[in-house]
Amino acid sequence: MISKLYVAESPSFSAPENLATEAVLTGCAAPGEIILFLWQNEKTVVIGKNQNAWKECRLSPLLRDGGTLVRRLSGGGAVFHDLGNLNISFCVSRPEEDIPRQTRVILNALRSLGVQASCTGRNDLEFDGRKFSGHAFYRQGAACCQHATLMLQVDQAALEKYLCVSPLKLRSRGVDSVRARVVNLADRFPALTVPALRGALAQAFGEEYALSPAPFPWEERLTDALRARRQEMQTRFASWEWTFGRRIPFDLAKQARFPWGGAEMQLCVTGGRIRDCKFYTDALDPLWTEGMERALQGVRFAPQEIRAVFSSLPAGEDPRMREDLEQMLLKMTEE
Amino acid sequence: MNFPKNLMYTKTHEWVLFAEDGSAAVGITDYAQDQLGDLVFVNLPEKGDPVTAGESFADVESVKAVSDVLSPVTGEVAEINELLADEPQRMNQAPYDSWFVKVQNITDRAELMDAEAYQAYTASC
Repeated sequence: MISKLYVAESPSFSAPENLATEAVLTGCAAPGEIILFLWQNEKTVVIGKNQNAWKECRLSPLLRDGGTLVRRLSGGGAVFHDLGNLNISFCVSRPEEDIPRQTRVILNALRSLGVQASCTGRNDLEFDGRKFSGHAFYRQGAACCQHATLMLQVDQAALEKYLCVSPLKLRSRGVDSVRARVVNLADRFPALTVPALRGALAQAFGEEYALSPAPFPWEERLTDALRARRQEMQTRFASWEWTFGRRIPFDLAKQARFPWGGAEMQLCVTGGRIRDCKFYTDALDPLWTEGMERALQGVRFAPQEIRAVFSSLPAGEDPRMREDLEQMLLKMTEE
Repeated sequence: MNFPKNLMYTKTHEWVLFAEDGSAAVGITDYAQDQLGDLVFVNLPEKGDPVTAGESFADVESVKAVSDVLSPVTGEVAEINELLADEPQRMNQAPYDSWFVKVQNITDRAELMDAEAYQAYTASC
């Protein structure tokens, strides 16, 4: 039975840091305790644990606009966070995990602010048939985490720009996002703000469990070992290996026309590295293209490494070709 | 709900089948797949990876939830079931045919139940 409620609020807007804190809180929730963790991220696309990073997110505009891509521990699809979104996590140990009850905390908090929302079959929340809150879960041993986004005033143009489907021909294992029509709650309820919502959530949390929530005692609970663990997790969440290097194999192809002829590039990527590369054109010296295909094998599917490969290749009969193909491949990493 | 007699079971709802050559096949039970719902993805270890009894060696995704799968034995992964990666729904359709890994060089095992004890245990869950 739940006998202790804590509320933890993150001072950080960094997704790797917040995800690391959430994982540590989830691991340290003792039997009988439940921790409500509230956090926000600056411009970030967050993909599900088992998604293909290239398929789900338009990397090039996201990175150009100063955004970040991270992979979370829970399942489900890609979401966009900015400071118009509030993230809500329930960290609890297994016997006390109660998803309908935890979800009710959010519904009741909204109700207290005048919003009559409902829960969908996929455990999301919607208002007027439009989704404003997506929920996902992870369970590691006895530790359980339910986390939710809640869109108050998210930049919807940005959301559509970063989450739109890749124009590449891409076949992949992994979990596809389920598209939903979304709504910002502040569009319908202009008085709704993040601080008001934080207060209402803490209130509804206490009412649901008939206990008074205390601020999470960071100093007391965050031992040196847990601090080290949080740092390690944060580094992992921020790493290329975690976000791009997971073993979710995929194939992709792109066609293009250049002044010197048409070309098609086919790639097979595993663990974030080019495992196989095939290039079709009638305009190039076959020995040169074979050399390129060989040089690309095993290389990370990332701009920096691809640039390094091309700078080491001989120019071939037409130097424009090398440059055009390099640009074509770089675009593939970003689309 | 199905509880084959020839298998052993863990409290965390994995099954294990010990073969005569000392290796073991491991999967998740009918009860587990029923509780989890439609499975859409599985992360398997690699051949040669060590696994430890009671610790996570794989995870599965169902309806936006990622859950760890714990190893019933300590040993080394001899074989992985690639079929599950392409057709994760097999874990729902035929949980006892859907072994995740075969483990060899087994040196330890978690606390295991026979079919009868496991059936009684699930009734109390």
